[in-house]
Amino acid sequence: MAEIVLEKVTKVFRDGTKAVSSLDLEVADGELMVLVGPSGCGKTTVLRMVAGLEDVTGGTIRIGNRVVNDRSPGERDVAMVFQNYALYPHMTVYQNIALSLRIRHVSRQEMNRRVMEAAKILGIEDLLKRRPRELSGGQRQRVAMGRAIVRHPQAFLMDEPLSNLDAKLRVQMRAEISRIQRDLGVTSLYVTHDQTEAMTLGHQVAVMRNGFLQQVGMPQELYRTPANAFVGAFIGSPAMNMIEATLASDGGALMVQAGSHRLRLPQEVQDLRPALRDYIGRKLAFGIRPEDIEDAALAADADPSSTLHVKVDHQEDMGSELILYLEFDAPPVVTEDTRDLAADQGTEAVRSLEQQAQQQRTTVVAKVTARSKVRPGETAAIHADMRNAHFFDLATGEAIYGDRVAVGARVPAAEQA
Amino acid sequence: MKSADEITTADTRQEAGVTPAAPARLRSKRTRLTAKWRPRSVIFRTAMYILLLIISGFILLPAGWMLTAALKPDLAPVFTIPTQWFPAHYWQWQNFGRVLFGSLSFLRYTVNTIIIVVGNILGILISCSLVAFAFARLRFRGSKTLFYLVVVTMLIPWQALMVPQFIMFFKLGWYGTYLPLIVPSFGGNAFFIFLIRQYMRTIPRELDDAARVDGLNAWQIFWRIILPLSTPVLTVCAVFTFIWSWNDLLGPIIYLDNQQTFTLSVALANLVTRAGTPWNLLMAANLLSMIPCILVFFFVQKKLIGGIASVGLKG
Repeated sequence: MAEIVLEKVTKVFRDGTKAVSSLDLEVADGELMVLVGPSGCGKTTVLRMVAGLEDVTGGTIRIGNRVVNDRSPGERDVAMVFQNYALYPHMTVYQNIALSLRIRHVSRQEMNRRVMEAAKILGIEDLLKRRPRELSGGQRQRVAMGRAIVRHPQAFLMDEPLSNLDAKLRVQMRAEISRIQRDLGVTSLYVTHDQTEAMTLGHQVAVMRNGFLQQVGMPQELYRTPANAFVGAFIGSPAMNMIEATLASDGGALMVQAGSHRLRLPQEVQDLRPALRDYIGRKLAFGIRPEDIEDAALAADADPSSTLHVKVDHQEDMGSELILYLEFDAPPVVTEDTRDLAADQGTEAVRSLEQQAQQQRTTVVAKVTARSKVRPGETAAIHADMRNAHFFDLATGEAIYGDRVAVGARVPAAEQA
Repeated sequence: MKSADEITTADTRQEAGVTPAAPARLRSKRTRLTAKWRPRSVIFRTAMYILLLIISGFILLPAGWMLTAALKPDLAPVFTIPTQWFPAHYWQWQNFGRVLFGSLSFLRYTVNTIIIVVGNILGILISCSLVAFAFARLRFRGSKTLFYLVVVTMLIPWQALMVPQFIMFFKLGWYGTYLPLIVPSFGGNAFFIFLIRQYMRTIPRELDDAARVDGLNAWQIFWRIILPLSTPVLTVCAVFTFIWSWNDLLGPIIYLDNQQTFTLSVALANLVTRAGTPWNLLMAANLLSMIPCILVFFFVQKKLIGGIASVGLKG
């Protein structure tokens, strides 16, 4: 059994920065767990602690049921794939892959057999005599993986292995990594800042932020039932739209009042989120994903209670779909979460957010089908699929569901301060 | 069908139907006069060559004079006016033979010098690379302070150390042997430690991380990863040590008393006596002692230039 268990793991650097705070995480045997989060959230530090390259300030790390806190990286029986590949420049591909076996005095025959086996899995048999500088990015990445595979370790640790590859290659390598991990059945911890990789690769995804675990679960769980506004906005591309809205009651039904638009909540949403009752008459964060907004003329089940008429600011024609930028006259949600997420995208995004807040209007992104005839400058009829509406508390950022909906191990907002 | 790896920018541009604009006629006219033969560049290059020849002249002419002097028989005037830069009348090549094998036994002195020089190079390489590795890669308390201390020792002038060192070696009974000339280099040299440490710091730390995960301990990381990658700087240190050691006069003069153990520098100096100097033999000996230095330089040129080309990493 080679599961990785992190119990209350904390890391404080020598200069006082708390990089990781009391992290509890469990990676089951043979599972690929993706650690995702914005830059500086502590995910790479967690990986390095599991590898043994950083000391653990508090808590325990177990690999395959043994506590490994005090063991050197070589003794932990893990293999690591680095972002920059870290291949030894003065050695051939064969020597690069075989080094770990040479150190352990594995017999020449066995060493040769294992290297050839790994080379075969990765398709690099004819590169064995070359040096790293003679290889392309994708080939180097494969050699780095070969170096990891050949040891038959208990766990793979991967530190953003695809971020230095170009887009096309990335897609290809993603599929390969997934295939190799599945075929070999090795427990893997994969760190990335790209949420697309997280969604497509991981059996389980853990979202981190500022050293705290936000939510852990299957990719679909994080997508459909995010635990807080940060996870909601982080997962999914383009990001979830966050609008400040008020909840009103009309007869027995709940209505969302966002600016001048009034949207009715279907019963199933009210059932999923009983705690919404406590927010009637109050302001909260209303989240709706771009893919849940459609051109009303083309939406199959558009009903007037969730159809709005909004002005289209501009559009981006992707060919396969149309991205519309709509003008909502409701203020955007400006909390620490949304500001952080905007900051991650750049200063332009932060400025735009603040501008929108000042003008009490939000640019809502909608992903509609390419067949839509909506054009910029018009006021279009837009249908919002309210079955997938998300709600978050404005103060804490937590998602509003009910009393005890299991959303994975995480530290409540109150403790994160 | 090319794999993703092999698709290059040229291919995708071709597919997009975009080719660099090049009107056919203009191109053929241009290619007739390639860059190499254009008038402006010819003048420039001729000027450069003339300048280089002049500078080479300054360097080579004295050597030429030395050769002239070396080829003269015993009592022929050497310091003539006007100066004879190239051998003209005299061609006594056997002077070289006399110097090497005759009563002057320069061959023996050469061998002595080689022993000392090789010992020094080994000592420097071994000690300085180990210390530099510790400063560059290992983390331990006080490493920064210790490093500064090592660098600060460069401020101490050797003149201040000369006498105490001599007394120490004399008391050890090492006077008259090669030990005082070789052993100190095993204690390291601040300048080389600094140089090697700075170079090692440019080696990406991820290689160390990868090696640690592979199971290498500190010594193995040093021996198998860092040292092989430090060849350029080690070559520089070796060459510096060679030149310094080969030409060192003070050390051998202080510590050696038996003529059989003398080095080249001492022997050459001894040729200049109050009873007169055999200039032709002196010049021949000098020329001979220059040859190893030149050979080393030629051998080592390639190594010095072939840098790290560091690609275990992306770019």
